[in-house]
Amino acid sequence: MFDPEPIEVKLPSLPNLERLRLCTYTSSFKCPQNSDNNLIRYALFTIAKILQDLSSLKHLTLIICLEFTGKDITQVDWSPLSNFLSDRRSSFQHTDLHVRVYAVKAGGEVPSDQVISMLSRCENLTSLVESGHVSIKKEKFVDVHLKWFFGVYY
Amino acid sequence: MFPPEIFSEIFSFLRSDACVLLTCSRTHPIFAQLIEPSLYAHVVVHNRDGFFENGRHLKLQPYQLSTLLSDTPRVINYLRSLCVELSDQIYKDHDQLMKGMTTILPRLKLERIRLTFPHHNICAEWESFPTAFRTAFVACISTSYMKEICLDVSRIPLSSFADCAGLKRLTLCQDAVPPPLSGSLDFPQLEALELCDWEMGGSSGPFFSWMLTHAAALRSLTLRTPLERVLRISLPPLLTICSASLVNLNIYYTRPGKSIYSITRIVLTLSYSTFNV
Repeated sequence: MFDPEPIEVKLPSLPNLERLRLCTYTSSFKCPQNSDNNLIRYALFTIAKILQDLSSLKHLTLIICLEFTGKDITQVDWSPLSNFLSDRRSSFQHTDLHVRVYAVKAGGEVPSDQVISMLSRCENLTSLVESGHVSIKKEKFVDVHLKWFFGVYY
Repeated sequence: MFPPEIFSEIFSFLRSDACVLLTCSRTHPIFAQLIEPSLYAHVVVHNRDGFFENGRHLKLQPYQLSTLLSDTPRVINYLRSLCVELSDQIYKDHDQLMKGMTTILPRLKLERIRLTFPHHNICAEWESFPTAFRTAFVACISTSYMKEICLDVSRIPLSSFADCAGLKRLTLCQDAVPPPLSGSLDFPQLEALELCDWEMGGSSGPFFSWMLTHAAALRSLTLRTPLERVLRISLPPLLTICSASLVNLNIYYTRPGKSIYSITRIVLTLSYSTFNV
């Protein structure tokens, strides 16, 4: 069983916080047991630590960037992500989800259509989208810093 | 026919589409006049060829902006936001872009200014810029109507913002130099602070201490860091200070965005030496 190193992030009480945007970039270099499935769990572990006790939050934007090293990313198990969001469906009014995937073996960023196709196989996540709790964003999150992570140059 | 103010309102929605505005302005002289406030509201100054044109904002080289302001002085009243794009060719920037902007910057009445390296993964140390450019930049921002400053620059003295009484949004890279202990410096209007590539290295301590006593009224905080210890150790006390006012929090826990910063410093130092010969 994957057991990531605990990241003891303990944020203070933020009683008026309404909007949180959380962007994580996780590669096999950060993940202690670097299989692609563990990578997702490792990213979520950090996110969960930050999200705990933020009860006033109305709008969460999650930007999860993952660098997969496996040959076949279609076999990646996304259920930890859908379970994570499902567990918190009552905590936030709405969550915008951006997932960006870099496949090392394929030598580049996976097209967003393909990422969404993989995510849509998770029934939990699909039901969250249908109920309006989660929006999966197709468009890339525009951020000058992320541009460098994914090697997008002019 | 709509009254002119209706057209002006319509054109104002196209401020992020310079190509469309330019096309419209060529259709009729009256349109050209009505479009000017929107077309010149945000200008990008750069030192590169047009190949990098994205069409969203008007992109000019310093000499083109200087000519525009000389030929059409009223443009100064429309220009509210300026982005100065620096390149990796620092020696060329020093000679052309910064020298050109040195005479322009003090004349402007801006609400927003950005100093950035958009095409390269670098930031620069404030002291690396020519003195004349630094002086002109501080003169430009030292107005009551300057509201937003975004800098891909580290180690800038916070005293540079001493006369920005209306400053609301500030973006800094890595760290800044706080005023001496005896000095008092407040930003009563500051609502949003963004810290890029915050690593809390050896020189960051005084800046962090300054933030802990001056960030109490922040409504928005953005933090970009590659380091877990920054999240774990530095972020909580900063959030505690502004916990009552904070409405918007952005955390980017990612790998460094400006990882070749140290190389930049060397390049800048070398280019300076070259100029001083």
